[in-house]
Formats: sequence, structure tokens, C-alpha cells
Amino acid sequence: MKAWVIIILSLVYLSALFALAYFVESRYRSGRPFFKSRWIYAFALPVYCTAWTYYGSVGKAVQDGWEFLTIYLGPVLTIPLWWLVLRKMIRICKVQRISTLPDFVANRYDKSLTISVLSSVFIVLGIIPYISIQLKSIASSFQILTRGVQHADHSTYWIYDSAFYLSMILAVFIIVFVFRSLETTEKHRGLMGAIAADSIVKLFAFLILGGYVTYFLFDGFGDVFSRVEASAVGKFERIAPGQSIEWLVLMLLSMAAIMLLPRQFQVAVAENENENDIRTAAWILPLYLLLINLFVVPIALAGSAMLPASVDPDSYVLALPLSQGQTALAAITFLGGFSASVAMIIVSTSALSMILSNSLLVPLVLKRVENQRLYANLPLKSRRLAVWVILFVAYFFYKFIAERFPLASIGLVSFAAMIQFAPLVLGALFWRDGNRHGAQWGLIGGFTVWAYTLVLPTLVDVGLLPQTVSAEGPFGLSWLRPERLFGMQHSPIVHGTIWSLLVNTSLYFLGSLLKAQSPKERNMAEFYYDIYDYSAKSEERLVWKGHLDYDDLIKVCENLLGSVRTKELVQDFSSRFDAYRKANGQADPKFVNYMEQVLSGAVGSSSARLLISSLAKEEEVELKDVIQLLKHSSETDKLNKELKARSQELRRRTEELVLANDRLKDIDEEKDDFISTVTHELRTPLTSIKAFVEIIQDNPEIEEDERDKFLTHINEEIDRMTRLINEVLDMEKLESGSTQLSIQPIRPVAILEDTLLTMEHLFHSKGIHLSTDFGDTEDLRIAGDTDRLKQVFINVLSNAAKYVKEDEGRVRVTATLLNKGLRISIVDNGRGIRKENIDRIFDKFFQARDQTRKKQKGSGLGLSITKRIVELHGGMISVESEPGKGATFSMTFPLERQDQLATIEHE
Amino acid sequence: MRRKRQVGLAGLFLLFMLLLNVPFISIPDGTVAGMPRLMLYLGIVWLVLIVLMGIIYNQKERS
Repeated sequence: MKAWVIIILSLVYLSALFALAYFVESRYRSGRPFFKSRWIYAFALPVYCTAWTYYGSVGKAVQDGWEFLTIYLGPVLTIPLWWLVLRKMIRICKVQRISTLPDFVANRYDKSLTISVLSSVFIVLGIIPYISIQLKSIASSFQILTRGVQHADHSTYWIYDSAFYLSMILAVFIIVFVFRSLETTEKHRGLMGAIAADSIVKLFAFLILGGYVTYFLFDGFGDVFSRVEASAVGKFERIAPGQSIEWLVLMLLSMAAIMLLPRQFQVAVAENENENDIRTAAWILPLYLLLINLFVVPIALAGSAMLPASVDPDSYVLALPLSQGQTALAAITFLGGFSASVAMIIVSTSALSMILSNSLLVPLVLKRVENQRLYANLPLKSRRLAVWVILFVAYFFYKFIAERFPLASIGLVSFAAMIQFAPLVLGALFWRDGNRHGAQWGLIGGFTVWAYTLVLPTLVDVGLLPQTVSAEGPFGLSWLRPERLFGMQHSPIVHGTIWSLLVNTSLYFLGSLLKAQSPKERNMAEFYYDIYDYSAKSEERLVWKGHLDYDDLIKVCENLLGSVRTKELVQDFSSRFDAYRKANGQADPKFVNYMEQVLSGAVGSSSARLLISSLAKEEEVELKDVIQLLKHSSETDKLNKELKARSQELRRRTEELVLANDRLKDIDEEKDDFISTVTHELRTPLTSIKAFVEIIQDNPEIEEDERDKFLTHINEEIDRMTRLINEVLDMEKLESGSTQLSIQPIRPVAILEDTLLTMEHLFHSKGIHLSTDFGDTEDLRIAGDTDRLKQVFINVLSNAAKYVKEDEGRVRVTATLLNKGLRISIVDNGRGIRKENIDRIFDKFFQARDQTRKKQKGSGLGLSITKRIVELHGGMISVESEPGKGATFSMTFPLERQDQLATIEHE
Repeated sequence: MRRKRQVGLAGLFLLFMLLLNVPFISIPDGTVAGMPRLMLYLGIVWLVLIVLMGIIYNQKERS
């Protein structure tokens, strides 16, 4: 393929990336974000997959079988712990305005400048080789595409080297899109958008290649395995128990890497906009990693089978399509690898530049320059300078050292460097007693052993140290051989990781247990440990004692951050706290804490500490101050909790009162309704009576038959009134509880039979067919009042008789034994009840108020009284009905135990 | 996220740590339908983890 085609392709891709970053950023700034932050966050996290994944996984698979997968299984395994670990880190960084790992660690361990500097140096040393292998992969893939697999040559003079120009372009991208603002805590949406796009491109490119190899060169997965030599397939058939340590250690390395590698910390912690974005990433990331690894083994096997043995397995990804004459596919594959490298270089260089600037360059300047003379944009300029320095050193490393090593080995050495931070970070999150001494000892010990066991053999390999150091050990001491320390035999990476981590962790605990914590450090330890309790008003939760002139503090902030930003910050503080300036012109301690956090966001926590301590006359913080503050905080928390509980209780009672008030209103309305209905019901017969009496009075000569007829009507109306008055009184007694039931052991079915006998004439006269089924329930007894129960049955049966048609009516009465009760059902085939009336059927005067039907004989209190009596017996009554299909009234009565019935009988 | 669910997540971490390490990972041996059993085992465990994480992390919390 022509070189200019690849160059144009790469430039077009980079331009598209720049344009996307600009688009995402400008849409966000205009308040119309194009993508939701959770998706960008989820797809930016696979920045973890670099050129090492893209090209190196295949190489590692050819060499070690499934072992390549540990690098992806480790991150996947950490996902269940994200809510406990990652979320806590995010919260701490947000509250403390931290954006780099050295700041995170140094801030917790007494804001130690030593820890900050050591961490930064170790990280830069550990990661620069990793950046350099990305440059190597880009240069290699460019060479393979333009000259062919067999003729790739990396000794090109720098002026003809594509990696050199790429470094320059990426430096410009970082300066334009990342180091635009002074405060490092500002989110870089454009950068995140570009990284997320990179992730999608590399995934699709790899899937397209994998699909081609598996389904075009072969007939699917099974075919790949069956057509390749048994020796190559054997590596993938099982994992021998002997590989367990290697497998576990590699997994642990990658578990640490997914959160602690500078680029991962940058994307997962510093750039996180919302803690809930973790929820989406929790399934997107493992799915992504599964997909990007899906075709690694088929490509590795196909490359072994189809390419000459002289081809480096790291190149199979490009060599396979080229060997088949698929140049377009090779170009797509190149773009995938290019995007993987570009994303990694951009984020890692940004993170390292910030680290270098915050922990080394800015403190160096601060120590030499007077605070008042600090010029604006110092941090920004030092970060931009750091970008060039890092890319230059990475390029130098790639040109002269990285050439000699496979991708995977350099990547793993970087992973081993980063796991040295795991004890410190976990200690910071979950152990209050870890201290600065332990952290320093652990870090120095761990990195010394890391350098001795993993870096020193590399220097021997490239000829910078004599072979004897590695083969015989320094000074001929074989037990000190860097790759066989104390005779331990494992692969170099496992060996180096075990020893360095062991030394690191032991020294961390030893130092923390032997040396005391300073009160200020204790304060921060509590803050990290209980971050969720301390997030709100964090400035109040940290002790600061001393004298700092308010104007001096403001002047330094204006110098570093600009006067506009400083004014905004003062306003922000004063909106949350009462005072920021004391009467004597001194800054309030809370304001000092606030400004120190803000300055941390611009220059790092150690530099911010340096600035404040150089401005102020600080007093020693004593343990009692911290304890008092913690006590105060816990008392405040307790009070807040009590207040919240009381407020909830008050809200609950208010709701209850509102409900009670509504109920009272309902009762009042019911009462009015009741009086109005009773009055109406009484007035109707009275009017009739009055009319008949007047007729009789006005017509003395009226015939005897006629007079008798009128008198009968009068009598009936008086009966009606009497019945109504009796029922109203009965209802009132039942509701007020003044009715005393005469409770005795009774047989409900016997009472029912008696009732039916009484009403037989009524049913017969209306031609109603009556049927019964009582089963074995006749002897069942309940505690009840015979007369009242009979009243219930009469009411329900009368209703049934009232609403069925003459000569067609059917009424069926059944009794059924339930688990702990007796159910009596009365079923009729009358006109039924409309759905909307079912719930109101037991209301007082419902029938009277139901204007939709022809008035029936009765007061409308019968069912209401029936319900009340059933309830007084501990039972319940319900109705099921459909219009035109009759109604079923079911009454359930609880069956008493025999001993209880005996007691009732005795009483 | 409630404490109970956090403990559950820590338990899941331990469970998958076990499933993806020796001795469990040494059990699948040989091939099935031309493919290594180990490949299928890893794929299934991985998929189960994705589904579980999707469900657990995206469950609505009850007030």
C-alpha cells in the first residue's frame, strides 16, 4: 500500500477526531449535549484496550495460550467492587478537587510532598515505556502496510518516522482540548467524546477482521480449531493447575491497572461527571472486553497456520489480510490499531503531564518564587511544557529501547509499576490507621524491588549492564539474581510482582503500625474513610489553625486563577457560609480550607499546601482539635438525623390529621345526608296520611268500604314509618355500640333453615324456586346471637325475593365449611347490581338514594344493618353480581374452638 | 445502594474470582463441537457476569 494513502487516512481520521471533540465540547457548552454522559463514560473506559490489546493479545495468545485473557478478566472481576471502591474514589476526588493519582495518595497521607514527588517519578518511569510501545505499534503497522511484513524496518531516521509526526499532532490536540482551562477538575467532554469514538472504531475494526478470518478464511470457530495443527490448538484446550499462580498474578495486575493506570484514573475517576454513570459502564465495559477478545484466538491460530514462522505474532492482525491481498481490510485494521494507540497516548500523556506539573514542576517553581510574584497561568504553562517533555521522552524510549521487546512484556512491566499503588489506595479508602511513614516506606520498597526485578533485567538485555548481573547475581550472589530472588522460580513478571508487592505491603503496614499519625493526617484519614458523611460542607470537616491575612490569600488566588474566577469563588463560599473574613482581617479557617481545595484543583494538593503554609503563620493542629471537630461533626450529624426523623414524624402526623379531617368532613356530610334522607322518608307517608285523613274529614258521607280502604292505607303508612323509625334506631344502636348481642353457641345453618321455613310462604306466593345445599355444616357452631342472625338471613333472603321475577325466580342457599370459618351464600337470578353500585350497596339509604331505579319497598337500611350485625359476629359479608345475571351474597363467620364455645356456654 | 446489595456485590466478586481461577478453570478439558470446552466455559461465565452486573447496578432502589 502506498505510504501517502496511509498518511492521508491517518490525517483524515485525526481530523475527524478533532472535529468530534470540538462538536461534543461546543454542544455541551451551548447546553445541548449530544450524548448522555453515561454512554460517553462507558465507552471511554475501554481506553484500557491499547495497541497492546489490538496487536499484542494475538502475540501473547500464540505464545502462552489463554493467558492473554487474564488482562481482561481482571478488570471484569473488579466490576462488582466498583460501587465500593471506584465510587468512593470518585466522591473523594470531587470533594477534594483531585485529578491525579499522586494527588489522591499524597493528599490522604499528610499532604506529603515527598509522597507526591515519589509517586510522580515512579508513575512517569513506569508509564513512559508504555506510551512508547504505542508509538512503536503505529510505526510498525505503518511499515508493515507500506513495505510488507518481511521488510519492516524501524531504524528509519526520525525525520521520516510517522511516529514522530504523530507525537507532535497529538501534543497539539492535548494542549487544545485538555489543557485549555486552569482547573484540572474541569471535565473535558470533547476529549471523552473522542476517546469513546476511538473505542468504537477499534472494536469494529477488530470485529471485522475477526469475522473475515473466522468466517471467510475458515468456516467458523470449529473449523479454525479443526484445521490447525494440534500443537497450536493444545494451548487452548486446558489450563494446567501449574499455571495457577501465573494466572492469578496476571489477573491481580490487571485488576489494579483498570483503576490505577494514569489514563484509567483520568477517565474513570477524574472525568466522571455523575457517580451513577458507573451503572451503565458496569455492563458495557465487560461486554466490550468480551467482544474485543472474541476473535483473538481464531486470529492467532489462523496466523500460526497461514503465515511464515518468521512473521512476528504481534503483526498477525495486519499480516493476515495483507497475505490474502485484502488491502482495504488491512487499512481498516490499521485504523483500528491507530485509534487504540491514539486514545492511549492522548489520555496517558494528559494524565502524566498533570502529574509532572502538579507534583514536580509547580512545587519546584513555588519553592523558588515569592508567592506575590507568581504569574497567572503558571500551572497551565507547566502542563503544556510537560506534554512536550513526555512525548519527547516516550519517542526517545521507543527509538532506542522499546524496539527490542514485545508489546506485552513492556505493558506488563507498567502494570506491575501501577500495582504498587494498590496498598496505599486501598489503605486510604478502608484503613484509618495507615499513615505517611508506612506509605513512604511501602512506595520506596515496592518500587525498588520492581526496578530491581523487572527493569534491571531489561537494562541487561539492551546491553546497558553486564549479563553477569542477571545470570550470576550482583557480586556473584546467586540468591540475589534479579529474576530468581531468594531462588523463587516464576516468569519474570510474576516473580517481580510477588516480591515487590510483598515488600511494599509489609513496609506499608510496618510503617503505619510503628510510627504515629499526625493529628492533621488523622483528620484526613477520617475524611477519606467516611467520605459519604463528610461530603457536604467538607470545609467544616477539616481542622486548620493559624493566621492568614485574607488579602494575601486573595492576592495569590488572583495571581494564579485570575480575579474573575477568584470573585466567583468568594461568592460561592459566601453563599454557603456566613463569614470568610474575620474582623481583624484574617481569613476564616473554613475559607482557608476552601481555597486550599480550589488551589489543589489548579496546582495539586501538595503545591496548594505549600502555598498556604508559605503564606500563613500556621499553628500545630492537636489531636484534641481533630477529636473535637469529629465529635462536633458526629453531634451535628446526630442532630441532623434527629431533626430529619422529627420532621418525618411531623409530616406523618400532619398527613394523619389531614386524613382524619377528611374523614370528619365525610361523616358530617353523611350525617346531613342521613337526616335529609330520613326526613324525606318520613315526610312521604306523613303526606299520604294527612291526605287520607283530610279526605275522610271532608267527606263524612263517604262509603264504608272506601273509608276502610283509606284507613288501611293510613295504617300501612304508619307501619312504614314505624319500621323506618325502628330501623334508624336499630342502626344507631349498632353503630354507637349500645346494642348488646346475646352471644351463645349457635348453629347458623339451623337458624337459616328456620328462617327459610318462616319465609316459605313468601317464596311460594311469588313462584320462586328455592333450593338448598348445606353439606355437613348443619352441626357447626359459632358464637352468635340467634335473633340478630335471623334478622341478617331475613334481610338478605327478602332482598333476593324482592329482585327476582315472579314465577321465574330462583334462589339457592348454600353453606360451606372453610378452613376456619363457615360461609353462607345466597344466590339469586334477579336483575343484579350494576358494577358502579357494588361498593355502595351496603351504604345507608343506598336504595333510597339510587335514583336510577324504580323505588322498591324498604327503607334502604336493611343491608347496612345486615353488614353491621355480621361484623359484630366477627364475620364479613360481600356481594358479587353482574347486571341481568343475579347476585350472590356471601357471609363468612369464624368458627370458634370447642373450648371457647364451652366457656361462652358456661358464662 | 443499600448495604445488603453492597455485601452481595462483594460476594459476587469472590464467587467469580473462584470461578475464573484454578481449580475451577482447570476442569473444562478437551473439545465439544470442535471448540475447546474451556472457551465455552469462559464465555458463559463472562456472559453471566455481564447480565448480573446489568441487573444489579441498574435496579431501581426502593425508598
